[in-house]
Amino acid sequence: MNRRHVGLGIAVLCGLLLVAAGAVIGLIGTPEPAASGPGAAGVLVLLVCVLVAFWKLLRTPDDPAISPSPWAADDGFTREYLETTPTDDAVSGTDLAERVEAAVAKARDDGSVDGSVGPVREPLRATLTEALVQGGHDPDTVKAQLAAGSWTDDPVAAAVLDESVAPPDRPFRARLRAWLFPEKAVRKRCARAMAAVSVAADDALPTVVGQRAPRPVPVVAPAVADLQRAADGSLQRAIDGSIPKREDIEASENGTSEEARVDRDGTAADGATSSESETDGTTLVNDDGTDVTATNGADWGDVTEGRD
Amino acid sequence: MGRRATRWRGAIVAALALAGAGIWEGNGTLLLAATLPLSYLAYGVLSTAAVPAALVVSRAVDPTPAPPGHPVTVQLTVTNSGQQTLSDVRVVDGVPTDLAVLDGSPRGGETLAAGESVTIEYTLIARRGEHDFDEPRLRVRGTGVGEVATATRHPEGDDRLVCQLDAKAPPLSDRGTDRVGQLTTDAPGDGFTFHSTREYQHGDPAGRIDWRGYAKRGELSTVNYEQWVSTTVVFVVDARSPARVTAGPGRPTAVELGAYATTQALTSLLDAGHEVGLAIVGIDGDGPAGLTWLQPGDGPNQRSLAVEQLRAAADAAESDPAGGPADEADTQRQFRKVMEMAGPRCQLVLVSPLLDDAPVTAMASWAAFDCQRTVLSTDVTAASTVSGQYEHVRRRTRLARCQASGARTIDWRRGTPLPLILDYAFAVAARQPSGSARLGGGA
Repeated sequence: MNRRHVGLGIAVLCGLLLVAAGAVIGLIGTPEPAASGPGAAGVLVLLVCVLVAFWKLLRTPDDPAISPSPWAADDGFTREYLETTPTDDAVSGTDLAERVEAAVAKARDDGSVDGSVGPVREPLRATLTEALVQGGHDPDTVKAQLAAGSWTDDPVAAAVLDESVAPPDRPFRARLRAWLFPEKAVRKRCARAMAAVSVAADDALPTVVGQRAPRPVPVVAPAVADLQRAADGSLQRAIDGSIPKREDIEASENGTSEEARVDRDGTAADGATSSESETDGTTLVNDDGTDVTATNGADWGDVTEGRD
Repeated sequence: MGRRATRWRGAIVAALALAGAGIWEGNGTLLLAATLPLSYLAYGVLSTAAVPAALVVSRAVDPTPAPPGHPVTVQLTVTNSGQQTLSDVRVVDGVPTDLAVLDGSPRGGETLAAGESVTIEYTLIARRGEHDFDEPRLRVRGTGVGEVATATRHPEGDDRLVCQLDAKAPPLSDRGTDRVGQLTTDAPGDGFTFHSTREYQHGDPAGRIDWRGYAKRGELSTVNYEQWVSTTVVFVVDARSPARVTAGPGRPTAVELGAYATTQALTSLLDAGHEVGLAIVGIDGDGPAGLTWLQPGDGPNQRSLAVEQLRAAADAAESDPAGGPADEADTQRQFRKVMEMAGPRCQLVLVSPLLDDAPVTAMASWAAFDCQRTVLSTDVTAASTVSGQYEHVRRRTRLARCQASGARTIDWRRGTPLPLILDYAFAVAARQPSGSARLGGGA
């Protein structure tokens, strides 16, 4: 309390002295600066001013009576990130994420997109084959469809699942982007292949009781800590890596460009956002930007659902 | 009492710079201009701040107790019950560290005139256990922002979120728990659901006579209702390491959700007079083959024992997410032992997320016994991510395999109220008095 009063007094006194000095100088008349520059006293005063200014700017107050800066680590009010959750939970479905990371690392080393999707090919092939066979397809027919790429309308996905299927010609812009950023191109291809596998499996597998049940409970929006504010003000997941919507895949049957989907939904070229569209029609999907993506290593994004 | 803020350090520097330049140049105007930042400094120093006692905090948690995975809304209200206006009030709620904020923000700030209040609302995802909230922190800044006061206040109202396996959450009661446990039979008789009509026989109770048909046709007929029979249901909960996963950080594990579903289902079945047993696979139990086994029985004591074992399973899954090394032979031995212990006349309900092939294999091996089999699969996959969707497709394929093996298969997707799923699981399972089971009914 005393220090505060002393500080207050000094500040007021300095102010008054300066006001008085300015007033006196103003009343007497503006003196002409000496031709030889300021005297020794003037230089001394200036030096003191500079030193005090630097000291004030650079010092870190350790007085307990002084509140730390909001960004300081010891400010008890803001030090905790309340919205974050423990990350030591075992999260389901990280198998393919590891394969995708292996493919991305291969693309980074080799620079080849077409030859880097190998680690993803086998699990996706096995999953699709199992789903189609379970759905009543003949295993030999499935194998032939995979070799011909006729199991899907997406030629990019077909090329990912079978190396004998030639990938479609891409426009110069897409090729340039894949050459510059092979990791992103690999991620996008994996996502697109997975989405196509999911569509094919959805169509083949029989419906199980409960799959089309109403889902009115909002349980899976992304946590606040995982959101970031996009340039347009909307909220989106902080980490890249999404899957395309089913309707985008279906719509791109004649679009051979990997970028067609991304350009269509108006997101950035790296495709950071996407939202799930449920096929049963009972799930409400937010269109307000609370979109979902997957993480790179820990793949745990969720669908966004609204309250009914 | 507040602490001084160093907000106006720049004003000191500006004053010194202007004063120094004025002296260097001999310019009185610059010297006079130095008083401007000083006036800001004086303004800041003169302002004071304190968290007044009249600032009242209250918190409402709804619902509590809540079931695992259910969204819980928290409302924190700060009211200025004093007479002075507080120009800058900020509040941060003490969210339990184990819970994830689903929506909204636990932070807020407002200018509060006398009598005004600010409410922050956010949504948490319930996880099993009792989660204590920390006291909310309040920060008040003076008008000149020269002083900052921070304090914690004990709120009125709720200071704990309780999440229980047997919680009666609002959606549960809305949907009606009594629908679970209606195991009907082919043989008509007394009951509530219409089955058929037959010719009137002497001695039939008057309440069962179809009086409307009598008015139309002039013939007496008696209404038959679906007759309820008592049966034995054994729940098999998958608590192995593949099931100890969540859909995302801060969300309940599949074991937790399975325990919740089992608790609700067995409660309803016991209430309806059925016998219920419990087997937990994947946890070192003292039962045969390392199972945690509860012999089928009825009554409230049976429910207590079952819930206790389910709690222990959820605890084990939470404390050791990795689990022990998965031994396929041991796992299958435990699943086979369940069938031996339960006997052929039991209905088996396997509660599993189906994230690996072991439960599917077990379900196929149970097909050798002539018993009613049901798979209730909790969904903990994130179907909107690349890897999550991969897992989702594989899980769907396993569900189809279970269905193909003759088991009744129920997919409890996230967002679907549990009673609805339990209704699907049990209301359609009809069982004849002789003990043989069939699929039928009409849910």
